Amino acid sequence: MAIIAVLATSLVILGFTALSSVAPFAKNGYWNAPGPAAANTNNNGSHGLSEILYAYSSGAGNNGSAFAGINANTPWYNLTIGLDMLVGRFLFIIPALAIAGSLASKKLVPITSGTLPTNGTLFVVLLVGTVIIVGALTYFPALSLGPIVEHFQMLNGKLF
Amino acid sequence: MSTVSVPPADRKPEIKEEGVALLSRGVRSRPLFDPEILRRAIKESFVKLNPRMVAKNPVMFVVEVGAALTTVFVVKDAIAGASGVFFGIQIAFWLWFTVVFANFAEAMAEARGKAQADTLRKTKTDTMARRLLPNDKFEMVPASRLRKGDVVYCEAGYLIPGDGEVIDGVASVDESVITGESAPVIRESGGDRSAVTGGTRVLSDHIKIRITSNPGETFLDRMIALVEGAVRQKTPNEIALNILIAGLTLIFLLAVATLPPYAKYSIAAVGSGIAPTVAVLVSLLVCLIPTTIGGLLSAIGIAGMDRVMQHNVLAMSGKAVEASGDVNTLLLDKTGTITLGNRQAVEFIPVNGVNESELADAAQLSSLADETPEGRSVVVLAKEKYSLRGREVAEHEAQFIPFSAYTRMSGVDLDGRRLRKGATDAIAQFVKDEGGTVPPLLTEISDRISRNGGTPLAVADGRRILGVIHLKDIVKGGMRERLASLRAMGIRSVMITGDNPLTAAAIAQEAGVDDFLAQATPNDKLEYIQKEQAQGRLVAMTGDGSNDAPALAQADVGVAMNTGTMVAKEAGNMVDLDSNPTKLIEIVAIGKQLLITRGSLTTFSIANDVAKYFAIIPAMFASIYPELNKLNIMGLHSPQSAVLAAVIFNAVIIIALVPLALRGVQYKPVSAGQMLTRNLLIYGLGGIIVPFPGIWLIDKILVATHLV
Repeated sequence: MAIIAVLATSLVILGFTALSSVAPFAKNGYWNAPGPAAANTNNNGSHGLSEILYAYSSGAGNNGSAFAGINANTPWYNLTIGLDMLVGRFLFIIPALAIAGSLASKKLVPITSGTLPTNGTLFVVLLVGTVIIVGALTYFPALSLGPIVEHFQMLNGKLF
Repeated sequence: MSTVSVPPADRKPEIKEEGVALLSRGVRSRPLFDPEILRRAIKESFVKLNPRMVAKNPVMFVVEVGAALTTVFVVKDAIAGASGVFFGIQIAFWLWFTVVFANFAEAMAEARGKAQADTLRKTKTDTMARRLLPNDKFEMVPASRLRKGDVVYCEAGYLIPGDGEVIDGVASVDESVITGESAPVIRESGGDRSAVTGGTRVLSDHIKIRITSNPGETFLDRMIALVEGAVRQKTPNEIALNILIAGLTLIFLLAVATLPPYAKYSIAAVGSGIAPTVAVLVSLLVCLIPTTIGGLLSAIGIAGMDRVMQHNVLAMSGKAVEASGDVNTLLLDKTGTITLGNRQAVEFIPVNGVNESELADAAQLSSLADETPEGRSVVVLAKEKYSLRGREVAEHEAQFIPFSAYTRMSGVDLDGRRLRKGATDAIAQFVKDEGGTVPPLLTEISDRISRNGGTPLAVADGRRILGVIHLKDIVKGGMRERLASLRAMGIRSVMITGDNPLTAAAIAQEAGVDDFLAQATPNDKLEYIQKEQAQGRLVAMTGDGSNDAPALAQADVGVAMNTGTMVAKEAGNMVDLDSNPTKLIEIVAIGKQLLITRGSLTTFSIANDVAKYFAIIPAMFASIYPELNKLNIMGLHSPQSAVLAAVIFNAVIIIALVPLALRGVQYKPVSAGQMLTRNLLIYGLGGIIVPFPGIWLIDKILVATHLV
């Protein structure tokens, strides 16, 4: 269940970003008027990739906003961001509820010295550490072609 | 096959000397890198490259597919005459070797297990057995032809041909071949000590044994199969961990598979740069997925079972060992378990009209030739209390009467005196036979001693009853400390006995158990276990008698003593060859160790990925965005050297961690929180930090040797 949840979110975010960064469409066609899906972005290069990545990340996990002026109101983007929301949110919530349900039906194990305390620094560190590491490891490649390289470019004086 | 009615006394059966000597020497643990095992393992590692075998391990399967894919593309490039072929060949080479190293880890664990199994097999001798025929005659058959239900006759000096139950007679047996313990044990029909194991030797008297298992199905055979890894089922824990790392593999596959589109977009946007090649993409994937734990997982499990056997415990399944890691309560029997079972003399109680020193003198004389611990303790007590030294009896006309299970007494005929000591009723009968009378005080004293949990030994001189020796049940040495260790692990100990509450309370206090249950019937034991389990606790139980069987079966972890009955051994899920009731401590430690080792290596494996990203990402995209070179914090020489160094580190770390996987992470009985903190720091933090110098070093070596 846990794997399904993590997999679902990463799948839609990374998958759709990948699709949108290369999907070719005819200019002035039905699906995407500006042409190829990547052309909807307001800026080029790494900032552009960040725009696409953000659109899908926000659709799956945040408030569904757009960033830096990407034109997300075309049939292609509407459809894909919609699917993104469906899969990214529901295929995350439902497995989480399933885990809760399965735990609720299990019998209580008494607390002994072998129990892991869930109310101390150790647990906090463990939780935060796991979230950061698994999250970072999944999205680092995509981020390195977007926000991270843009940061380095900014330090070199190149702005968008 | 010849039919004989009495076996010839001077014929000695053949013994495989090697096997017996090996086990008596106590060679149970082999050194970590035995050359012969190494050779076997290396050969196996290449044999296991077969895709069908690798497919059982999802992570390694992905690596193998990646290696094959890379090889195909490298060959294609070589034919087309493209550049960078040498780099591609090296990448492909190291990818294949990642799989080989993982196979090596598993093969090492299996080879060590097989070596143990071979040692065990050597104890299976091809003795001749005396099979009882319906007409009360015997026929000689080889032991391998015996079947379940056959009855064999075994007498002093001969080896017992197979696992069985004593149905007639009493004998003392040398079980050192199986247990390594040279002190002989009593085996008798009826009661709790009727089970015998094939390969052990009868030392005195003779017994009839009914064979209870066919050749190939004995406990030893089952353990051999388990240790050889042939009949190994994945434990629930292993399955869960497998799902986790398979899931992580999928996630990283996703992260890497979506890279080519991003790269294509970025190249189009910037106008320059080379797309990452298949070799580099596969390298990134293989470095990211948890290959370290993927390769070592099965080795950890097999090595764990191996360690269990090194502690002289036959476990029937890996699941039992893992379950012991979570045990909350341990139920212990009193007699023979918490207490020595071999009682010690503490007091001489004379009957009316007899001097205590006279009683002590007679008791000592009759015990001088006594080899049993009880007899020795009588001699020692007489010496300590009355300064009676062991005399030289050579000058007297002394004839020692040895202890026999039939007469239940022993003694000496000395200077016309007939001194005897033994069970109260046996001595009473002896005195009556000599023409004397039995004072009623004898029964009173005996009863008093029994009620206090001791054993009375009556002493007689001819027709006179002299008195009673009080043998006390002594709590086994070190019991307090071991029970305290159990408590530190979070396990509660409960003593169960059929004794009266007063004696039980005294022994419980002395031994240091957390709780006790007195005057318990076998049904009481069962109910107690069920009550604990209803509260969500996991219960372990040690027992030896047939009456313990239902409780052993009900308990989550049932450890049967080797000295116990066959029924008990079948009911439990582990057999302790040393018949040590607190052996559970070692089993629990190994059970927990298995889980801790798996967790630690998984953490290490994932933590490694951080450094590998810093090595490969700048290498991959530097041609598109040179600014990303700022991420190259290790200062790696070139994109090729960076990728190759990461792949080599990924492969080599598997081999480097094989000893840790086989030995297991060190386990100390501290609370879960403390242990987790310690291991997180070592393997989590260590996993993040260690690859940085590792990859840097390999990079320097690659550049120095001009391999890249």
